[in-house]
Amino acid sequence: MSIVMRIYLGMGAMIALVVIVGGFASYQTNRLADTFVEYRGTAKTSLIANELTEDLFEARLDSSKYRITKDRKYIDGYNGRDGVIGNIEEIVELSPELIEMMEGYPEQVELTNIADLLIEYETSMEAAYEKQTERDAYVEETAELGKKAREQLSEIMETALRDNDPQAAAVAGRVSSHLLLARLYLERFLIDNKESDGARADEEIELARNGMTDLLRELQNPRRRELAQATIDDLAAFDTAKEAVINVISERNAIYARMDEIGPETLSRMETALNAVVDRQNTLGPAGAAMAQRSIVIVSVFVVIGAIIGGILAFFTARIIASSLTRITEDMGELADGNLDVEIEPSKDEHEIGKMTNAMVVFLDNARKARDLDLEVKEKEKKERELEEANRAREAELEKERRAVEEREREAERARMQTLENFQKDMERVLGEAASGDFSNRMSKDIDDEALVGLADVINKLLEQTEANIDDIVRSIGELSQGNLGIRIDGDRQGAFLRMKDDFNAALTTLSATMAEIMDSGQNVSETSVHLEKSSNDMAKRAEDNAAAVEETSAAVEQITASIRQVVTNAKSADEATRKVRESADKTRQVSDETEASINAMTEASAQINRVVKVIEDIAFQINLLALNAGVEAARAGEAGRGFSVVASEVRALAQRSQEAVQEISQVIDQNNQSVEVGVEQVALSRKALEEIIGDVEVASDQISEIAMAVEQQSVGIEEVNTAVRSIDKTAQTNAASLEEMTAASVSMSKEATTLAKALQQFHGVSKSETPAKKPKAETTVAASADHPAQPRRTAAVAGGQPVVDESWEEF
Amino acid sequence: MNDIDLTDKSVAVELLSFRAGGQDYAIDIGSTREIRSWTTPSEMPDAPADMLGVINLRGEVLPLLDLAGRLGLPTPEVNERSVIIVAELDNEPIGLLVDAVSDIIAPSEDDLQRPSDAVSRDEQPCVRALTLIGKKLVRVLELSSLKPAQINLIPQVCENELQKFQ
Repeated sequence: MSIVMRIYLGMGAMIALVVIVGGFASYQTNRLADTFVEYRGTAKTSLIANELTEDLFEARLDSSKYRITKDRKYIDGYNGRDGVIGNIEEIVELSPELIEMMEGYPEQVELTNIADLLIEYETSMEAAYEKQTERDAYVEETAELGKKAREQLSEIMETALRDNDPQAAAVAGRVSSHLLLARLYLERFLIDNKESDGARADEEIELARNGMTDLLRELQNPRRRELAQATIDDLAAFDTAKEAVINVISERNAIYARMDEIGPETLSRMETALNAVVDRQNTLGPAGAAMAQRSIVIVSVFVVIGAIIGGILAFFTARIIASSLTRITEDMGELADGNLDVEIEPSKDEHEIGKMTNAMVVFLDNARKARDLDLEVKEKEKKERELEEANRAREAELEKERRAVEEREREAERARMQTLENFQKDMERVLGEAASGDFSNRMSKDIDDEALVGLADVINKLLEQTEANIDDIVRSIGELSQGNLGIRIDGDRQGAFLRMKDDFNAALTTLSATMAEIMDSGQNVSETSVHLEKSSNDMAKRAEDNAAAVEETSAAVEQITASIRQVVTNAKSADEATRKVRESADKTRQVSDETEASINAMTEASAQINRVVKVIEDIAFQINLLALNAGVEAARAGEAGRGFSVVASEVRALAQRSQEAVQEISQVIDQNNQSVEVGVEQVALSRKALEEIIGDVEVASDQISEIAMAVEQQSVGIEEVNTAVRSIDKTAQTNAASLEEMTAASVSMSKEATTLAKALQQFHGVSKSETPAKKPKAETTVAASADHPAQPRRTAAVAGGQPVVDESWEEF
Repeated sequence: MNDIDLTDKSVAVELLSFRAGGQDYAIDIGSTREIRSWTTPSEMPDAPADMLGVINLRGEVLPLLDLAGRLGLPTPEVNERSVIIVAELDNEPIGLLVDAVSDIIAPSEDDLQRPSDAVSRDEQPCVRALTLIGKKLVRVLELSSLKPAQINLIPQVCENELQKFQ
């Protein structure tokens, strides 16, 4: 199968999977949408059902309110609210819609006749209202009749009593009481509708009526008979009305009972429907969520499976392609590098790469054939090139022979030219040397050519003459350079050489005279500079001594300054210390003041205590006296006073004890006072001592302050001295430096003078003027001749003349 | 004053003891009327030296005698703690100035000793008996001996007597 086919197949499978997943997802979403729509429907249904239930509740509530208040407004509506009728109408109106919405629910049946039930409820309500109205009318009637009967009975009673008929009055009173009871029980029946109350009312009316019948029989008075008859009628009417009331009420109550049946039944039906809807709603929500969850899981599973399958397919396909391609790429690389010996296996695979391999095999065969052909062509070309090489070698040999012949001819010509050239070179050398000052060379006569030999002789003669003259000059100048100023050039000269001799001699004479003058003045300079050096040396030494002394002084002053500063610092700290001492002394004084004050307060307190003690003592004394008196009285009373005397003695003992105690207190206080006095004295003493200390400290502090001040003033003075000394030191050092410079200058001057003397010493044959008589021995003659050019002679006078000059220079 | 039967050893006598002139004395409590604190007496002209004057005791005027002076003892300085014993001398009240009243004591007759006749020159000595209360020697005074008539003699007698006794 080809690779393309495989890829198509894989892709197709993937697309199919995606389509399946998409379709499934779409289906599930549709189902979810349906569920959601249904959910919404149930929500709406439950809303309506709720509304209707609420209306029903309101209707029932209003009917209850009506029953309690008997107010018509609860039936017809009030304060913008629907009454019983309004609510019922609303339910009846909305119930068909609800029934329609409940289509499919089994509970729909519950709602089918709900409207009929409610209409019946409404009708019952109206009927109950009518019965109520009826009842009210009857109640009114019974009240009027009852009241009238009571009034008539009262009149019967009063008139009967007035007419002395107590029997009738008593019967009338009994009837009246029965009537009252009947009315009471009827009222009670109206309130609680109890059968027993109704029966009791009946009973009482019956008794009243029987009583009236008896009364009518007894009564004689026509007026009273008339009244009794009317009362009998009234009572009958009352009875009838009462019966009607009871009937009406029982009817009304029956209606109410029916309403109470219909109400809860309707409500329970509504609630059943509502619960069904809510249940449906409750199942729909989770079902939808579960469905969504399931879809997600299934889609996820499909996606994972698809991804795994796709991955596997892609992996295998890629592997086939990669392995085949790698092999074929390697083979192609070999081919590209020109290696045609590579072996390519023909592929049996049917896919594209297999085909490509087979094509490569064919391509390789063709390439091999082409290479064989190429090799044959190259062999042929090589043979042709060898033939051509052989021809070229033969031609080169012929050319070489021709060149050798030419060379031999050129050699003969060159020898001729060489001789001439040699001569020329020799001449150039000799004349060149002469031109550069060496006249000792001569032309060689070892030449083949005659003409050239003659020329060489002439040149040699010229050179000899020149050399002799120049040698004279050179020797004389050499002597001069040795310092011999007495040398002269002698001998006969001609032409330019004669002029040269004269000029030289004259120049030397002048030079000799000048040199003599220089020597004189040089000696003077030398002497002066020696003096100068000596004195400047002395001075420098003194200046150094000075500078050293000043430096020492300066150091000493510095030391003094430092020690003064130390003293000042110490004085200041001492001042500070005394100040602190004074402060603490002040504090101590304050403390002792306080102590004294408190001791005084204590003494004062003691005095007060003393006063109190005195009073107590007085009292004790008085008690003692009283007790003694009592004792005396008791003793005088004899046996009768015996008991009293015991009491008196007790009292006396008590008084004495208190006296003793008070005395003890007094002693203690006295002791205390004594110690306090001692304390006061000590405080005073310590205070005095303290004040003395403070005085001493103040004196010391003042003295220290004065010392510090004086020292500080001194310090300022010393500082000034220090500054002055420093400036002196600086000046001295500057002086010393200048003196040193001066000394150095004089020393160098002296040195220069010595150097000058030494330099002048090199000259001999110096004379102040050109007087041959004065210095005949200094003269040196140069006997110049052409024969002894290199032998200058020196006269013995040269050595003799030297000491004269030396003597005068030795002082340096 | 003589109602104390000294021969009856079983009967205890009640005495008022006091200090006068630095010595302890006692008198029979029956002859004591009352004790009162110091009050300044009104001096009387031409009175003996030991008669300090008269005092007013609730309307009754009575003489005040300096007992120490009468007994020939050095008179202590009078202060606010000095005490006046009002005694009855021949049924007449008389104030006796003493230093202080000590106690009411009741020694039995055994405890009372008659001073030796040798110590007394007089036939009626001023100290009737002696007794020891603790370590204190208490002299029991014979009040009648203080009568003004005998005043001049008593001091000497008593002094001599006591010195001998001690």
